[in-house]
Parts: sequence; C-alpha cells; structure tokens
Amino acid sequence: MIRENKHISSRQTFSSLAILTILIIIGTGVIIAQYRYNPALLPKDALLSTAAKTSRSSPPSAEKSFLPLPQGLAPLTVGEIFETQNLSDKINGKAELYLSAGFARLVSQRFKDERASDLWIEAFIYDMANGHNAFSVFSAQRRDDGIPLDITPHSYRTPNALFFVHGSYYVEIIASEASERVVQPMNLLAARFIRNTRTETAAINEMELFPQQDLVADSIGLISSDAFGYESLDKVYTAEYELDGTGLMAYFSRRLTVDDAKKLAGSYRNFLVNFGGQSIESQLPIKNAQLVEILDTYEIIFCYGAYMAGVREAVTIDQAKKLVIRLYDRIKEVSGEP
Amino acid sequence: MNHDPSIKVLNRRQFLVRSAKAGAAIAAACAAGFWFHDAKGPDRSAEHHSDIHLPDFSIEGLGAKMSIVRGQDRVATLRLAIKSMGGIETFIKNGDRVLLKVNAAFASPAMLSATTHPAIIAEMTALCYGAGAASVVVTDNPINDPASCFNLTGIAEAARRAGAKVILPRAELFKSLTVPQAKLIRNRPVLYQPLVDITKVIGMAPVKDHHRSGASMAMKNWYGLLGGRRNIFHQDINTIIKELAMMVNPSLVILDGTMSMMTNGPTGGSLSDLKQTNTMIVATDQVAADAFGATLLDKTFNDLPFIGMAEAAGLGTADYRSLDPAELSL
Repeated sequence: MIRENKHISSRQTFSSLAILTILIIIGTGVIIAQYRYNPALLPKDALLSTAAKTSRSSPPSAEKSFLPLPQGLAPLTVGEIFETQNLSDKINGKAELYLSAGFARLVSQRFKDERASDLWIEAFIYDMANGHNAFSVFSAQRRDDGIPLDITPHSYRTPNALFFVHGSYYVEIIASEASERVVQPMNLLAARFIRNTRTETAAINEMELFPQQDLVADSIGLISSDAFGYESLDKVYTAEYELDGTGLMAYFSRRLTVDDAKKLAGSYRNFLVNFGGQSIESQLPIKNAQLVEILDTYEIIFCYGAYMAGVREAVTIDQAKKLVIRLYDRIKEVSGEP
Repeated sequence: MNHDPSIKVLNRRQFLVRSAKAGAAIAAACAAGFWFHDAKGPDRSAEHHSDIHLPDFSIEGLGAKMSIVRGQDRVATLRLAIKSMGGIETFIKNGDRVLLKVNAAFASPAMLSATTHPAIIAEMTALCYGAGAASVVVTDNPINDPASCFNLTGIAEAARRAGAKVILPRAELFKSLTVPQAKLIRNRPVLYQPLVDITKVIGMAPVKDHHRSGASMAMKNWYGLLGGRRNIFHQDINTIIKELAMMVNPSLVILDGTMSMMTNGPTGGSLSDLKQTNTMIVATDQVAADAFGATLLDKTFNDLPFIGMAEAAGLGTADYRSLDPAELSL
C-alpha cells in the first residue's frame, strides 16, 4: 500500500517553486551559451600574446643573468623569459631555427647606458641545453664580416653586436647603434655574463675531423636538422674549403651504428637522384663511395665506420676526389674508429 | 496497524497514473537531452559563425599600378614614387580616414631594418594629411610587449609627431573573422576595431629575409593583424601569407627596400645582415610588389611559393613587368 502525505506547508511549496525557477534559469542559460559557443574565439587574455603575461611574471631580472651589472649599465626593461611554446612571440619566424636545434629557454633584457641616454643594449641569452646545440645556432647565423673575438672559443662581433657561445648558451648582445661608444658596454656585459655563469666549455671536438688544408677560416658549422634539404639528415658538421680558387663543402655526421650510416648514405644518394641528380660510375678512391652530379656540381658520399660523410658543390670531379680523400684520411686518423 | 487520517492511501489506478506521468517526464527530459546533443560538435565554417569581414580598400577604377624608385634617401624615393603614380591625391581624398599598417614586430632599433622605418611613416602621414585625410592611424600587433616595439623602433614618436594616432593592440580591439574560401583564417581573432570606419588602408613593410617563408614583404605584413596563437600558422606559412592577402585588399602597399635584410630574418640583429639595395616600391598590387621585392633578396618569385599561390588565387600578378611600372632614380 502506498500512502501520500497530505501535510505540505506553503513554505515547502514556495521553496520547491524557487528551486525549480532557479533550475529553469540555469537550464536556459546553458542552452543560450551552447548556441553562442565558438571554439575559435579565444578567451580575451589569449587574444593578446602570452608574452604579455610573460613580462609580468617573475622576471629573471638583471640579477639572474648578469649580476652584478657592469658600472654604467642599468636595466631599461624587466627581463623576460620565453620557452618553447612562446619563443615565436619574441623572435617570430626565426623560432624554428632554435626549436629544431634543441632550444630550452630564452632570457632577454634591455639595458641602458647611464652615460648616454639614447643608447640601449638588448641581451638575448638562449639556453640551448648543450654546447653542440648552442654551436649549431651560432654557426647557422654567423655573419661573414664578423670579427673573431677571444672571449670564448666561438665568438665574434659586428659593428653593433656581439655573438658568442658560452657553454650551453648562445648569446646575442645587440646595441641600438653602431659606434665606438657601444663597444665597451657590450664587451663588459659579455664579460660579466661569462664570469658569472658557470657552465662547461663547449668543446666541439668534431671540428678536429676536418682537414686543415684549404679550410676556410671560421666556416665550420653544425646543421641540426634537414641538412641540404633532406629531412633524414641531421646533426651534420659542415666546413667550407677553397680549392684552386673555387669553393666546395665537406661534411660528416656520426650515426649510432655502422648500418645506420650506410643506410643514410644510400637514402641521401637516392634523394639527390630523385631531385634530378645523375649517379655516375667512376673510379673513386674510397670503397663504396658514390658520385652524383647535380645542378652542374659533383657530390661524393661515403661511409667510414659510423660516419656518413662526403663533399658537395665541387665544380669538377677531380676537386671532389681531392677533398674527399683528405676528409676520409682525417676521419680515419682522428676518429679512432676501426 | 494504526491508520493515520492525514495519510491518503493510493489505490492501484492512482499509482499507475502517477508512474506513467513520472515516466513521461523522464522520457521528455531524455528526448530534450538528445535533441540538444550535437554529435558533430560546433561548426567552424565561416558562413555560420563570423559575419565580420574586412571591406575592400582598393581604389575603384584605379587598377594595378606600380612604381619603383631607386635612391638612398627613403623619404625622397617614397615621395617620387607616389608622385610618379599620379600624386597622393590619386589614393587619398578629402575626408579619408587612413590606416597605416606598419611592421612593428620587434623592439629593435630602426637601423636594423627589422621594422618599418619611422621616417617613411612620418612622411606618409604628412602626405595623407596634405591630401585632406581626416585622420591617420598607425597600428600593428607585435605580440610581445607592443609598447616597447612601437617606442624603441621610433615608430610611435614619428607617427605622433606627424599627427597620426598610434593604436596599440588590446584584447577588446580583436574580433573573430573568417576569410571566405580560406583554409586557415576561419574564426580567427583579428585586430579589427582599428579598421572600423577606415576608408583607406596602406601597408608599409621592409624587405626582409624570413627563416620560414623565405621573405617577409608586403603580403606577410598583414600577419601583424592576427591575434591569438598565430605561431601555429608557421607550419603552413605559404598558405597563411596567401590568405592574409585574401583578407586585406589594400589601397596601396609601400615596400621599403632601401636596406634589405638579406640574412637571419626576420629579426636580423646585426648591420651585417643588411644590404643597401636602395629601392622603394609602391604598388596597388601587393603580389607584384612582393615579386619585385624578391629580386632585392636575390630571389625570384619561384623561390617564394606564396607569391605564385597568391597569383593563382587572383590576388595580383607575379609578372610585375606587365604593370609597366614607373622606374625612376634619384
């Protein structure tokens, strides 16, 4: 038997109606909101950059990057930190260069020269996680007219800027003008950073694998990814040579295993052929080396142990052979591979 | 068993009627839920969600015009280029409200040519007012620290001194916008509010190398109107540049190749990245302007896919010579 309670007070009735009214209002709101929802409309904060937030968040300040600042320099703006997800907010389309090379973090800050109110300097300190990554972005952007410096093994200056590698850091110090008066504050800033930032020296031992004869000074570089347009070719060291008045390039990349090196050499040769290269049968001085003519230049690809290596952009086969023998001998001599 | 008189006993019929009502209420709630459920999710198509678009700012009846002036003095070459196209009055009429879309992307000094040079912004502002413009505004969305970008480049001071109003990006100035036929610019936040009531839009950009796209010139300059997480577009850089050109049909573009950034763009950082190419390009056809600008970077339009894509989309011609551009030297 089911029984119904007849004692329902007016208070209970009023409470029930109030709850039902609230539920109806909430339900109506949900329906309206759902119909207006647009996933492409970002929250207001997201319409502007994340960097705007970055600049307000605990800045690294001068203390973290340059403490203490050299005399005569004072912070002009607060420091900013950029990480992988928002690096492009600071350097736009160049972010890919750093990201593909192992970028970890950027600290940047502007300083003013207290003796010259119109002069300011911005420091970009890229933490690239290790010295090889730092060297990679350093070498990729090296200016041809840069004057080498001795502040670190990889450093140079241009009329308005200093660029150097210090341990795992790639550093750019850029002044607002090109004049004699910017030289001292830039040098002081660089020296102060180097002195106050403990890091292991970036020793790029791979540089020893390039033969010295006819090597163009300061031409050794490291391509982190997509070397020569081939996406499988990464971590490639390159060097420019000048033979008989013409330029050509030598390169190598150490792979994990001997087989990996062989496979990469073969796939790179195929890549060249697929893009119009002609594989040429020729008596080559290195066993299993391959010669390809492409765009009126010659490339020789070979393997030595786990090294995949070669020369490219040679205008004659003889030039290519001459350099490739030197490179092969040098790798054999220095690498210690059997 | 005691019988409480306040308790009414339900008979079988009443119980069944009430059960049926409760079942109907539950079924109705479930039906309503099913009716509101959208299995496909929100429709992102332009036609359904964004009725905002940018008007066509091109000048009716003017057609494609171009002028190339060589010389070291960018202000003088700009003046001559405008003059060779019929004078500023060809583009700006009495009462026009003009927007100068500059490149203020980085807080770097003007000498590095990573941003629009303040001298030509001041000159263009003066020319517009001289032709009777009612107002001139200067804007860009540099993403990072807009105030520093406008100030340290010298753009803010130059514009204000010439009488232009500088509009820095703020969240409320953005609106969601879709470009018809576009793949990427669909319901994307765009710096829209400064363009409301504007009658003429002039793009002003430097000629620069760009790590992703190969070059940053007149068409890429509209990238600075985008908001939100626009860096995702770097994954399809050529398409986004084409779509930016679809989004903005300007009255005029000014491409400053007095100093071109040949390497390490778009930021540069050293004077070593620059080459004195001594050329000012002014055009109503932004595709043609970029096609010529490519030559200053020692490239052809074939090296820069976005130019061919924009041409194929009917946004202009890559064959800038077909416009019979005025070519002058100072």
